[in-house]
Formats: sequence, structure tokens, C-alpha cells
Amino acid sequence: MSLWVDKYRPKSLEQLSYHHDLSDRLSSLAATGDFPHLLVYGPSGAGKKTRIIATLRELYGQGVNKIKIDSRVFQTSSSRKLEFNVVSSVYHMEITPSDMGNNDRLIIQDLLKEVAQTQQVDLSAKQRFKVVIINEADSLTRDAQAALRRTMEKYSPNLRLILLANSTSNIIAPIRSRTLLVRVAAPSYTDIQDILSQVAKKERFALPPRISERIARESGRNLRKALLTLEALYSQNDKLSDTTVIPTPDWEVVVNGIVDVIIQERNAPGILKARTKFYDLLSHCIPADVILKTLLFKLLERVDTELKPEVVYWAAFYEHRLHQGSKVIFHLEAFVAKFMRILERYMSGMLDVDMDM
Amino acid sequence: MSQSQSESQSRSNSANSPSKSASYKRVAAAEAEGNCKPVASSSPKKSKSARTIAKDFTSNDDMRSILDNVPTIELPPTTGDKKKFNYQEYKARQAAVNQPTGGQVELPVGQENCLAGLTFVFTGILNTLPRDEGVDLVKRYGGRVTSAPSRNTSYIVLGQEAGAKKLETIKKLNIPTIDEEGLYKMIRELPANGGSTAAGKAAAAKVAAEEKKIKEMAKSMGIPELKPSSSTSACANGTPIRTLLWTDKYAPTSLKDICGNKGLVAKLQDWLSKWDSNLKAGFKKPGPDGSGLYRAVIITGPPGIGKTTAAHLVAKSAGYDVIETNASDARSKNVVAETFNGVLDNTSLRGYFGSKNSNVEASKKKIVLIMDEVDGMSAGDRGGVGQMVTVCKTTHIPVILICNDYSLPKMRPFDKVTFTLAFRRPDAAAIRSRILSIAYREGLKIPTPVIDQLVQGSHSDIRQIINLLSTFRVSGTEMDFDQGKAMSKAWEKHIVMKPFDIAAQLLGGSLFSANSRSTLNEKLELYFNDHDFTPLMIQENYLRTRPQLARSYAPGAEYNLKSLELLDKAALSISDGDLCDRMIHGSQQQWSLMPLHGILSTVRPAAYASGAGAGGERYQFTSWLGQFSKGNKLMRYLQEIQSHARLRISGDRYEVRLQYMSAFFDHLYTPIATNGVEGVSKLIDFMDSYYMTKEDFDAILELGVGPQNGEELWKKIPTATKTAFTRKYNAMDHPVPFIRASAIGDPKKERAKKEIPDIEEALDDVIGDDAEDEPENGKDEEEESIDDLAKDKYIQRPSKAAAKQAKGKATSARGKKSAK
Repeated sequence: MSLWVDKYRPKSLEQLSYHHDLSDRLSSLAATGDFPHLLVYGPSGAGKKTRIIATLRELYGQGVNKIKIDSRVFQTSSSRKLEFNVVSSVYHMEITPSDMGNNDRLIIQDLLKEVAQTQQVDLSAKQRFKVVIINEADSLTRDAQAALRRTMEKYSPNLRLILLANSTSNIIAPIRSRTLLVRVAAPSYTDIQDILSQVAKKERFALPPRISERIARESGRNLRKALLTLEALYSQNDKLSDTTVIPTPDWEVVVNGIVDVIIQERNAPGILKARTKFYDLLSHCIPADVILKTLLFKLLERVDTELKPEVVYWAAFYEHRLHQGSKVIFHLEAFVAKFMRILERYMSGMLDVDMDM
Repeated sequence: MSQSQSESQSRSNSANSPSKSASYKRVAAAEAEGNCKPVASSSPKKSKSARTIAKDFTSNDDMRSILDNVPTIELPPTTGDKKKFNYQEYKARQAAVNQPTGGQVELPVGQENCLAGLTFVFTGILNTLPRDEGVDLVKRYGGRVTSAPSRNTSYIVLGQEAGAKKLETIKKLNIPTIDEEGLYKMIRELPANGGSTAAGKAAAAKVAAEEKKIKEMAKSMGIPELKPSSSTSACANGTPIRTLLWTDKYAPTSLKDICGNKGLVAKLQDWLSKWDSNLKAGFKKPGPDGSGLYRAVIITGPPGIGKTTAAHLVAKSAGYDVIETNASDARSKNVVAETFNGVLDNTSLRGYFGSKNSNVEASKKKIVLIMDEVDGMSAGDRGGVGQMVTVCKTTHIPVILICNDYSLPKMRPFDKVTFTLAFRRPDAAAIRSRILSIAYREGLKIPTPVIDQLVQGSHSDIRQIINLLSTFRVSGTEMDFDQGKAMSKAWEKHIVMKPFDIAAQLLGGSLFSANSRSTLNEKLELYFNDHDFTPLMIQENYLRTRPQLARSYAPGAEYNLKSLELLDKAALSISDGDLCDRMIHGSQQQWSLMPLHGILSTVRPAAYASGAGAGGERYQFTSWLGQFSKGNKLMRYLQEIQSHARLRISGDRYEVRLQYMSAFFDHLYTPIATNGVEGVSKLIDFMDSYYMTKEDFDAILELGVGPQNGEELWKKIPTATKTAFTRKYNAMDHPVPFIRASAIGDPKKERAKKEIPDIEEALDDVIGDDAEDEPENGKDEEEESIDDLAKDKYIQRPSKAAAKQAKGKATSARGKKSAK
């Protein structure tokens, strides 16, 4: 009994229902036997991992689907012991170095080299090299990325890397130049609707096209989100109709609360209230950039067109700082203060002198 | 006398006349005298102070006229309503007292000691003179400053917003009231040393008497006076006197030389003298002060006030030999145990081995153990405190412990086994004569106000004052007030401020008011008092003020906009500060950016946001730390969930949190919330299909926010359902995706890790008999070898009986411990 999103995950490249040209290219790459390092990037819920696993299946056959998780222990230079989970099959290995925070370089140096220095043992394997998938490659530290670049060249006979990232902007140029960049775009609304109706058919229930469209739009072209929403709707309602309300995730409800506060209470206590809610979200593992982005889009729905450029500018300004700095709450709060000031000035119709933009 | 009478009349007249304006009209006394008719029945209670001045000064007509010409001011009317005492307001006032509202003026220069014999009280906020500078000014010219008006007060220096209570007292006592202008005038015009008046003479006589006393004291000081030929003369321990530090040279040699804390020293003496009889009585008789119950005393107090000296002198006077250990000796558990094992029942052999001529009485065979700097027992002295407590409980010789900070948690074990003598800082009067006599002996000329200043500046640290004087003596023989002040400031003990005080000072407003005299560097200094906490405290509290920069704006939209502008700027600066912080604490380690960080994260935001607290809000402790560690904890949980469910799902942990969590919640919480016990099996099915453990289940509930706040929702589930769930879950086997490496590690090691004793446990161990521990440990090891497999939580024992037995053992062991 698993969720539909996992139950109906395509296993091979042929089963993938959108981006057919990309699937073709991947399958021909797998066929050449000269498989390059890949940097696969695209928004979440676009099907990067699914596509890569399907490609691996093309490379090695069924064996890649037999996976296991190992827990390995590493010792840092300060002789602190860290545990690290490795997902692997006989042919490939999947690691998430960013689990280790700032010690991710250790993984790259120790684990990756260890894998790279041993050859494929299984003589019946289709390929001589092994594949290592690196998840969340865009959150690798600079040090770790630097450690990666030489390994990629030196051990290429034994090892192919597939880096998964949401965007290439955090990947250093030397790595980008050593990899084949594969962009997996988010599925279009119709792609999502097709998949939703397929799932509905398999689960034997009627899905009105209107609601399917609404789910697709609500998901922001995130297929995973769309499928999870569909299942939630199905389990919460006896029968889906056009008017069925689409549930909002818990954290978005809190963001809505922040929006209400900062539009209605434009003063210091208002910022304090927003701060409490920000803390609530952040401590419950909601990434700060997601918060800021969601907040911005919800705010834009509520302000006049004139203000939008300025608000977007400052949101981008503080989003940049979220990544540069370390205490994200400071920047979120600064954005709230800035937004309140912009809105207050607009509402009162007064001229605010030094508004540097 | 007639003159004085008329003056006091005119004064009372002007004081009685109602003044409607809140600002104080200044009335020159002479003018008032001319205009007002003398009132026959002036105040029935003629103030004593006025009389004293009159009596003391009428002998000299010049003085009289000067004092008469000093402009007095009227008292403001006191408002009857009593406000509730507000601590925040009080603190703000304290800060404001040193922030004059007007501009600065040049301080007057007068004759030496011209205010001798006069006593002043400062109250309210002075226009041009910060309070502490005013106090300094009076002291410099030999005047006295007291904090509350009394009969002996000669003049009140009154500023704005003086306390109602004080004004009432002043009115009642009819004390002449002046402002700072009056004070300046006095200083400029009064003759030196209080002139030839009676007050001046009295002051001079007092000084002379003191000098005489000092000379006597100096003579009686144990050490022979320095003569040019005395370079070879040596003191008792053989060191030539010349090479001695002043602090050793002038160390008290008898109990009466100890400055201050006389009562406590007497108590100590009393305790020591009765020690032997108390030992015979088994320490059962408390005695008048309760000290008879203790084998040991602990002397606590700040440095430099003579704790060690007192202990040594008391021991010496009672005929004890001293064994001393201090922080320079290793004092771990073993060392303490070994060192004192023999000592505690020893007698001194000094009398036995001493040469025939040496002055050791045969009776001198008693030993006292003085343990100095007990709070200096640090990480290196592991178990030392606990061992010391045991020593204090069993010792057969008196033990005197000495420490600076008794409030430390590690000192708590001594609470029950020692008698506490808390030494206080002696006041200036107690130290003054001693310092003066030392100065006299060394040929230094220091006026009394300067000594007082030094005492104040060093927080009554006698040792520091003597060191300071010995340094000064190298370059000069005469110290004046300003030199003394500069010197004590240079030697000022740096007291590190607490985060709350820093935040209060930065955000309170007075630091950034228009007339504030504090420089940028001084503000930055606050940041460096605690550079970890200050930025966080500022960030936490900058929204809890009413910015003073916005105060001048019209309430309403204009004010709102201005304060939002200020908050925005403050927030932006804090955001800048974080970027800077990243450069310091990130991979680049640019520590030289610290000042910049201080400005950006602390000074600048405070400059924008500082002002009185809004709506009586208190300053809060930073919530960032708590939220950060909570976030880390939940992130660990989330990672665990993701790694368990990894075999099914493809997303990373953020995807799990953002998208999956609602679905998990639907499948985990909803079944038991709607169907109760029937939902349990469905729920467990789902958990197993995603390889979740029970801990993951709890974590998922904890990770929810807002409408999915798991903690609150979980409370709504009936207990029966919860227990059904737990029981059923525990009864079944569950698929495990993988086993953590640490879980299969060395079980012994894991156990050791868990049992890091905290202080209380260590104390328990010490109090309990050590002998009891050892066989227990031995038993444990035996058990371990049998039960090694049982420690591994993934290996289940076949029979329940064995498990029960193990459980029984564990509880019995626990019972034993608690029985202890």
C-alpha cells in the first residue's frame, strides 16, 4: 500500500509520457556505451530522478531496481564520527552529500574515490563503469565541488557521475564544463492532466476534467504535488466534482497567515507576529527560499500593479541574501519590513524620500 | 546671626511661594532679600543645616557674602499622585541622569579644597552637568556628596524631574537649593581649604588628626622603616625588603591590620578556637552562630579584600601551622585523596625539628589546611570538588576553603558541609587610613579624596590600590585628583556586561539621544562585551521599542511611515550584518571584519530603533538559538524519515517535507482520528510500506505546522486508541530498510556514552560509599558478557522469561541507587 505517486512511477524510458525527445536522447546515450557524466537539472517534481533511474535500467537492465540502503560511518578530521546513508544497487550508488552539511567534502573525497578506484566486479554487467548519482548537487559546498572535479577526470574509466540539481547556478563552472547538461523541464499542464486521468483510470474512479485542470494549475507544474493532491482529494471526498475544494498544504496555510498579518498590521508588532510564524515554518524544515517565494506570490495577488515591480525587486534582493547569509530569519524579516514600508507609503499617499532602489 | 536669619527667611519665603510653571525660576538670594519683606514667623522648624552653615561661616564676612550671593532656586511643586514603581522607567532615569539635556559648559576652576566642610546632594537631571561629573567636581574640591538629603546637607543641587519624595524631604528640612550655576559660582569664589571659617578649621583639624594617626600607624607597621643602609636588612622569610612587592611588604601582620570584615574575621577566629572542642563533641553543638556543626569553613568574596590574608593570620594567631594548596597545584580526585589522606590526622613536627633558637613553641603542633582558589578547580581537576567535599566531612584538622565566586554550580556541593563566611568589599573609610599610612611610609603625598576615588575605581580591591600606588611612586610623589582618576580608570577592572544589560543600554535610547556623549567606539565596545549574543539580542528586541527618531512626527500616518522607515533601515542593517557574519564565521574566517559586523549588526540598528520600550514590553532573550536547535532536531528527524522511505520515494528531504508530509499525515493521522482503534491496522500497514518506525511516526506528527500541528492533534486522540496502536505496533515485526551503523556498534561503548555523570551524580557517588560502587561494577561486567546480544535492539531474545529477569535486575540496580 503505497501512495499513487510511488505506485505508478514509470520504470523504463518508454513508459515516460512526456519529453519524448529527451527520453530518446537518453536511451541513445545509454546505447552508445560511451556514457558521459551528466548534470541533470530542473525544478522539483519534473521527473529527474525517475528519468535517471529509467536510463540506468536501460544501461544495466533490471538489476538497478534491486536497491538497498547502507549506513556508513565516517570520521572527520576532528575525529567526530558521522553516519551517512548510501543507497546502492550492484551497478550504481546514490548519495546525498548535503546530508552531512559542511562535511560533504569528506564524502566526495573518501567514498567517491573508494568507489572509483575499484572496478566493476560483476563480469556479466553490461557496462564496465559504475554510476554514482549525487543528489542535491546544487547544495554541495565549494570545497566539495572542487574535490569532485579531479575525481571526475581521473577515474572516468570506472566511474560515471550523474549530478542532480534544481538549477545550475550553484554548480561551479569546471564541473559544468565536464558534464553533459540535461535539462528536465517541468511537465506542461496538459502533460499533468494526462497523467492524472491515467491514474484515475487505473484506480477506477471518475475524474472530472475541470478538477484535473485545477489540480494541475495548483501544483505549479510539479507532477509529484499534483499526484499527491489528487490522492488527497480522492481520499477526503467520496466523489470528485468540479467544485471540490483543493486542500492547501499545512505550511501554505501558515504563509497565508503571514500575508494577512503584514498587509493588515503594518507596524512593529505586525513584524513580530510575522517573525513568530517565520520561526514556526523554519524550525519545521520549510526552506527559507520556498517561504519567501510563496510569500511573494501571495502578496502580489493582493497589492496594486504599481507596487509590483518594487516588491519583486526587494524580494529578489533578499532572496539573494538568504543564500549569501546564514541566519535566514534576518532577511525574511527585513523583507517584511521593506514591504510594509512600501505599502504604507502607497496607502498614505506620502512621499518617502530615500527609497533607494 | 541676623544676616543668616534674614537669609533663611527669604529662602523659606521663596520656597513657599507657589510657582505654577514647571520650569524652575532662578532667584538670586540677594535680590530676594531686597524685594521680600522679612516674614516674622518664618518656618517654625528652622533647618539645622542652615543653622550649621550660619554658625560655621558667619565668622568670616567674605565667605558669608559669597555664600549669600550664590543663586538659589525654587523647588518645583510636588505632585501628590503616587505612581507605581516601574523598574524599566527607573533604569531609563538612571541612564538619563548622566545625559545632560543642555549643551556642555566648561567646568569651573577653583581653589584647592574650597568646598571643605560642605555636603551636597544631587538630585534630578541637571541641564549642563552629567551627574557623575558633578559628583567628581564636588569631591575634587573637598566637598562631600551624599545620596539622600538629611539634616547635615548644606546644599541641594537640583535638576529637572527630581523625585517627589526627595523634594518633600528637602522642603521639610528647608535645605538651600541651588542649580549647577550656583555650584560653579561657589567653586570659583570660595577660598582654599574652606577659608578661615570654623568649618574650614574643623576640616583642617580633622585632616591633621588623621595625619597624626597615620604616622602612628605607619610606625607601628611591622616592617622596619626603610633607610638607605637597610638594603641588606631582611624580613622574616629571608627576602631582602627592597625586592619585596609592596603588597607583601605591607601585608597585614596582625588581625587588627585587616581592613573591613571585622565581624567575619572574628567569627573565623571563634570557629577555629573552638574547633578542637567541637571535634570532641562530634560537631553536634551548633554554638551561637551555628559554626560548631562544621569541620570546614568557606570564605567567599571578590579578589583583593584579604581573604587569604585573614585565613593565614587567624591560623597564625590561634597557633596553627598552615598547609596551603591553591590553583597552582593539581587537585584532581586522586591527588586530593592521596595528598590529604595522611595529612588529615597528622600533627606538625615543626617544633620537633626546629633549631634550638628558633621561636617555635612546643605546643605548635596543630595544622590547619587552607585550600585557596577552590573555584579554580577546573576540568583538569576532575572529581576534585567531590573529593574535597569528602575531606570536609571527615577531616580531623580544620579546613578553610577560599573562593571568589560561590554562586557557581560546581560550588554547590560545599553548601551542606561548610560554614560560609561571605567577605564583603570594605568601604573607603576602612581602607583609607591603611593606604594613607602606606603612602606616608613610601613618601607619597595623596589627598584623601584621591584615595576615595581610587577605592571606588578599584571596587575596594586593596591589593590593586597598593600595586597602583607602587607603580605611581616610580614616577612621582604627589598624586592629584585627576591623576588618581585617570590611573584608576586605566586600571579599571573590565566588567563584562550581560546580554540583557547590553541590549537595554543600546536600545534604551539615551545612548543615541541628541546630546549623548558616548562615541562610536564606546557603542562598539558594547558589542565586544559579548559579540555572540549582542547582535542576537538586538535583532530580538529592535521591534520592541518606540523609536525616538520618529517621536517628532505627527501621530498617525506620518508617524507610522517614519517608524516603518526606521525599522526597515534597522532590518536592512541587521541583514547586512548577517552577510558580514558569514564572512567571519564562514569558510573565509575574516576576523578583522569584527568591528564592521559590530556596527552593522548592533550599533546601526540600535541607532535607528532605540527609544523607550513600547507598551511596557520587556527585553526578551533571543529566540534564535532555541528555534535554530529545534530546526536542527526536526531536520534530523526529517532526514531519518526520508532515508527510511527512500526505497519508495524519489524526492529529497525538502520534497518530503513540502509535498509528502500532507499525504503522510492523511494516511497516518486520519485513520486513527476518524476510525479509532479500527484505523490502527491500516495505519501500521502504511507505515510498513514506507519502512517507517514508530519514531518516524512521532516525528511526522511533530513536523506539521499550523492546521497540522501534531502535538495538539495527538492530544485529541483517546488514550485507548494510542495504547492500542503502541501495543499492536510492538507486537508485530516490521520491515527495516537498513540498520544504523551506530546501532550495531560496540554495546559497551554505547553504554559508556550514555552514562556521562553530571555534577549531581558525581556528588551522589561521593556521598555514597566508594566501596559500594566497585562490586557493582564488577557485577555489571559479568552481566554484560552474558547480555551482549540483548543490548542490540534488533536482536530479540527468544524467551520472555529472560527478558523479565533482565528487567528485574535493572530495576533492582536502580532501586539500590535511589536508596543511596
